[in-house]
Amino acid sequence: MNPREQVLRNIRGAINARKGRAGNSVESDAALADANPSGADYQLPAAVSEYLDNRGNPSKPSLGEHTDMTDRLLDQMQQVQITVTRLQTSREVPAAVQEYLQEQGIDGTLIVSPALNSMDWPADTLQGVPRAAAEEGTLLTSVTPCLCAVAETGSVVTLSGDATPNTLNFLPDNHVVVIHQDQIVNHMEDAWKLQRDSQQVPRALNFLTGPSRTADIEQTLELGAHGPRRMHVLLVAESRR
Amino acid sequence: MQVRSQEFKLRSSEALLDDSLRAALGNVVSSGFAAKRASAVALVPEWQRIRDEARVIKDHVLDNLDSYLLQYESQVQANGGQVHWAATPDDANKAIVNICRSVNAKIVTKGKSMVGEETGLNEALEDAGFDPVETDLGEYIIQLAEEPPSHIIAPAIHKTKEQVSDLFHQHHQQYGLQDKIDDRADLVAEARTVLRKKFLDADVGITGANFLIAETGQHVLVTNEGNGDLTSNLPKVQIVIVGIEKVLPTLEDAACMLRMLARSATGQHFSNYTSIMSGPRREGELDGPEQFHVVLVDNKRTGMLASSLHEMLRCIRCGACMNHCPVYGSVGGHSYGWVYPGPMGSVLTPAMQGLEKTRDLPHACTLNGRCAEVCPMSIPLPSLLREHRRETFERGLMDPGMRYGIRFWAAVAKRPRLYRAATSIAVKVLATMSRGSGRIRKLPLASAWTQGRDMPAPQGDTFMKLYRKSR
Amino acid sequence: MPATPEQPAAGDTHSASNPTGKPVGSTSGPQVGLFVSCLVDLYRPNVGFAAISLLERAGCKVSVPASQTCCGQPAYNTGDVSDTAAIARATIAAFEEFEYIVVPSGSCAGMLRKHYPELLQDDEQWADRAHSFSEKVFELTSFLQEVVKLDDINARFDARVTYHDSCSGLRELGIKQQPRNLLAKVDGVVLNEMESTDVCCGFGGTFCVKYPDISERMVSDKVALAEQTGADVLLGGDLGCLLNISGRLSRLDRPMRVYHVAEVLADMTDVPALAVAETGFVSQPEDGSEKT
Repeated sequence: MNPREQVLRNIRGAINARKGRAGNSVESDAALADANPSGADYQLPAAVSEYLDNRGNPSKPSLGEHTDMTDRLLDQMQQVQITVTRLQTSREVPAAVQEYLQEQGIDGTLIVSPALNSMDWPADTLQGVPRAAAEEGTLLTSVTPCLCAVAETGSVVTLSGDATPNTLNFLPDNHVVVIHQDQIVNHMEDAWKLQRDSQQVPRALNFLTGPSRTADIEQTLELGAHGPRRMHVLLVAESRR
Repeated sequence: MQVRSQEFKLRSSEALLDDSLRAALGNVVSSGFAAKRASAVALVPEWQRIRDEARVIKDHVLDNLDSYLLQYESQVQANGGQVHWAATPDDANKAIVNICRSVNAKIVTKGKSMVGEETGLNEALEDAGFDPVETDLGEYIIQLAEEPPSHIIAPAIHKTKEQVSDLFHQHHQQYGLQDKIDDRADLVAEARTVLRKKFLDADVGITGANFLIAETGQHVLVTNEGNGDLTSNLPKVQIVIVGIEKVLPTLEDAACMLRMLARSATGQHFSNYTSIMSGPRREGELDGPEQFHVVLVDNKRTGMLASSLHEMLRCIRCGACMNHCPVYGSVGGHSYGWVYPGPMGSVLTPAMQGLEKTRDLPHACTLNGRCAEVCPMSIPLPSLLREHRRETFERGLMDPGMRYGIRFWAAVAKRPRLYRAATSIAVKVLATMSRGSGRIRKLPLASAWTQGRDMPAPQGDTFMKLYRKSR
Repeated sequence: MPATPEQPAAGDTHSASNPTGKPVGSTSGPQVGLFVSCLVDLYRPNVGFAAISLLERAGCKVSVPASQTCCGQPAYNTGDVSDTAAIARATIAAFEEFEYIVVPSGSCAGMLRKHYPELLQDDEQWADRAHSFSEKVFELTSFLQEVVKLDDINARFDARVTYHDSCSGLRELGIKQQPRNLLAKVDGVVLNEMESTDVCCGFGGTFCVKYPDISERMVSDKVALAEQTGADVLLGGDLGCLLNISGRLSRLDRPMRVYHVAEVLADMTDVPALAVAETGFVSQPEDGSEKT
C-alpha cells in the first residue's frame, strides 16, 4: 500500500470503528479498500453535499456601535497601527504618496503595482516585482490597489494577478494601499464572494492587517519583523472605475 | 525529534529553579496572553455561538475526513499543485527531501510548522545536505540555540532578551555583527537583515498551514511577521506540510475558525497576515513559485480518530490551553520533553509517542479545567487526560507504589465499616503528631506533602464519629 | 478538642445543631442527605456540623448516611475506573432515597453530579440510577443560595477576607457568586478579591504528592496573590485547596487564617483556623531542618 492508500484506509477504518461503537451500520472491509477514487474531478458524496447545502448560515460578529462601516474600518485600522489619509479622487494619489513619504521622512525608491501604472508617478518609480532592488538592499515603498477592505477585521485584502503581484505586499519597507470607499465590505465572507467572482481560484488572497510585527522576544510587541515596517492607507471617496 | 518526556519530573524540577525562565515566562497565565485573550473575547458578544458552530464544523469534517481530503486533493491538482500523502514522519520527510533534491536546492527557508517539528524535518533536511533556515523570529532563535520550541505560538518564550542577544552575537559574526545588541528593536532589526537575504536566496520555501479549504484547494496561513508569505512567495518551489485534520469544507468555515484563532492565541482581533493561497504562479503572473506541493501528514492522527481521543483532532493549535495552564506557567514548555507542551501536548504526545515514554504527562495536571474553559474548539482536555490515565492504569504503566496505594485505598473505601475504623485511627495518629500545634511539619508517609507545606492537624476525631456521638 | 456544637441525642435526622437556639425549620422541609466528604470527615468535622446547621436553618431535614466513605475521586483521577465505579454505585445506593444530596465541597459535588453519570453510562443497571441521582446533587453554597434560598444568615465575622474559587466547583458547577452572595449577609465581613482567583492553587488531589515541586510553586503563587489583597482570612468551599493553602501559609509562618466558607456562614469560627494551634498551646522547639 502506498501512503495515500494507507492514510485513506486508516481514516475510513477509524470512522467505521466509531460508527460501529455508536451502534450504526458500518462499511464492509471491501468497501474500505475499494472506495479509493483517484484524485481528479472528485465529487463529494451526495449526503455530504446535501449537509453543506442545508446547514444554516454561520454567525458573524456584530460590528460594534458603528453604523457606518467606514468608521468601523478606520477604528480597527488605528488599533493595528495602519495610518490613513482620506482623498476625494484617485488623481490625488501620487501627490498624497509623496506627502506621506515627506511627513514620515522616508527616502528610497517608489515601486507601484502595474495596476496603478496609469497614474502620474515620478520618473524614477519602479514597476513590477522589486526582487532585484531588494537584493541590492534598496529601501522601497510600494503602492498597490486592493480587492476590498474588511470592516470586521480592519484588513486590506489584495488579490494576486498579472497586474497585482503580491510580493509588493511583503518585500518593501513601507506599503501604501489605495482603497476606494465602495470597496469597503462588512465581513470576511464578503471577501470570499469577491474571490468567487474572479475567473479562477487566485494564487493568493492576502489579508493585511497592519505593519509586520512580532512579540517573540519577551512577549513585547515590535513592528517591522519581516514585512513592511509601516502601512498607510489612502482612502478615496470616489467610486472605483 | 527525540522524545524526552520520560524525564518530566527531573526537567520540571530543574525548570522551577531556573530564574531566567521564570523571568522570561513572566505572568503568562494571568496578565500575559490570558488577560489579552479575555479582553478580546469580551468584545464579541456572539463568541459562544461562534464557538459552538466551530465545534460542529470540525466534528462534521472528522466524520467525513476522507471525502474532504479527496476533494481538497482534487482541487489542488486543478490549481496546478501536487499532493503527497504521508502516513509516517519518515514518509513526509522523504517526500520533502525528494522535492528539494529534484530542484538542486541549497537554502530552504521555513515558516513555523508544528507538524515539521513532529516529523523532525529540519534534521532530515540537514542530513540530506540542505540548509534549512527558520524564519519566524522565535523559531529562528531556538534554531540558533539548537532547542525545541517551548510554546506552540511563541517558540522562544523561555528566552530572555539577554539570551537572544548572546545568541545573535555568537552566530551573526559571520554576517558582520561585532557588538552585542541591547535593544529589543535592534535585535528584531538584526534578524530582519540577516533573514531577508535568506528569503531572497532560498530555492525552496516550506510552511505549515492553519487550514485547508476542500472546496477550492486553497490553504490558509496566519502569521504576524510576514515570514510565511515571504517563504511562500519568493522561492521557486513552495511546499506546505500539514496534518490531515486541518481540512475544512469551505472558506466560510475558515472565517469561523479565524474569528476564534487570533483572539484565543494572542488576544489580537485578527492576525497581521492571513493569507489564502493555492497552487503555483499562474500564467502571466510576475511572481509566485513555479511549483506547489502539499504534504498531508497522518502521524498517528488516524489512530486518534478511531479512539476516545478523537476530539483532540479539533485542535487549531492556538495555544490558549497552555497560556491558561498554571503547570505550564510554572515549568515552561521544555519540561514536557517533545514538540507540544501544556495541556494539548499532554494529550497529543502520548498519542503520538506512546504512553510508555510519556506516562508522566497526563498525570502532571491538576485537572482544574481552565484549559477546556478557554479552548475555542471546546476540547474536553481534562477528560482526554483522564483517558490517558485510565490506559496508564489499566496497562500497568504507572508507578507501582501509586498503583497499589490507590487500589489499597479503594479497597478500604468500598467497605464503609472498615473505612470508618481506618479513618478513626488515622485521625488519632495525626492529631497526636501535631501535639496541639495545629500542624504537622513532617509526615513520614507523606513527605511529598510536607516537603513544602505543613499538614494541618485534624480536629481530633472523624466527623462520622462525632456525629454519631452527638445523636 | 474541637469545639463541635453541643449535640443532644436525637434520631437519625439531626435537628438541634443550631447554635443560635432559634427554632428551626419545619419537619416537612426538603429531605437532604449530607455527603460530608472524606476530607471534612478526617480533618474538619466543624465544616460538617456547620453544613448541618445551615441546612436546618433553611428548613431542611438533614440525614447523614453512615455508609458513605469518599466520592472516589482519587481513584477516578488515577485512572482506576473499576474501583471508582464500585464506590460510585455504593454512594448512589446510600443516597438515592433523598430529595437532595448536599456536599460541602465543589470538587466532590462535581464528582457526584458530573462524573458518576459518565462513569456508569454504559452500565445498563446503573446508568439511569446514576443520572437521576446526579440531578439531585448540589454543592452546599449553591444549594443554600439557589434551591432553598436561605436569606436568614445570622452570623458575624469581623475580618477582611479573600475568596479562593476552587476549580471543580467553579468550572463543573458554576460556583462563583453563590458563596459571595451568602457572605455578603454576614456581619463584619469585608471581601477583598485577589487577582487570578480562578487559577488553581496546586492541590489537584494526588497531583500535590506526585509533583510536589510544581504544586509548591503553584501554592506559593496563590499565597502571594492572597496576601496582596491585605486580607486577614482566606475562605473557600473545598477543603482540599484549603488544606494546601493553609499548609503553605503555616510553613511560611504567615498570619493569614484559613476557614471553610460554611464555618463563617454558620457562625462557627470559634475553633482554631486550619493549621492553627489550639488555645493554650505553647510552642516547643521542634526538631529538624524544615525549610521555611
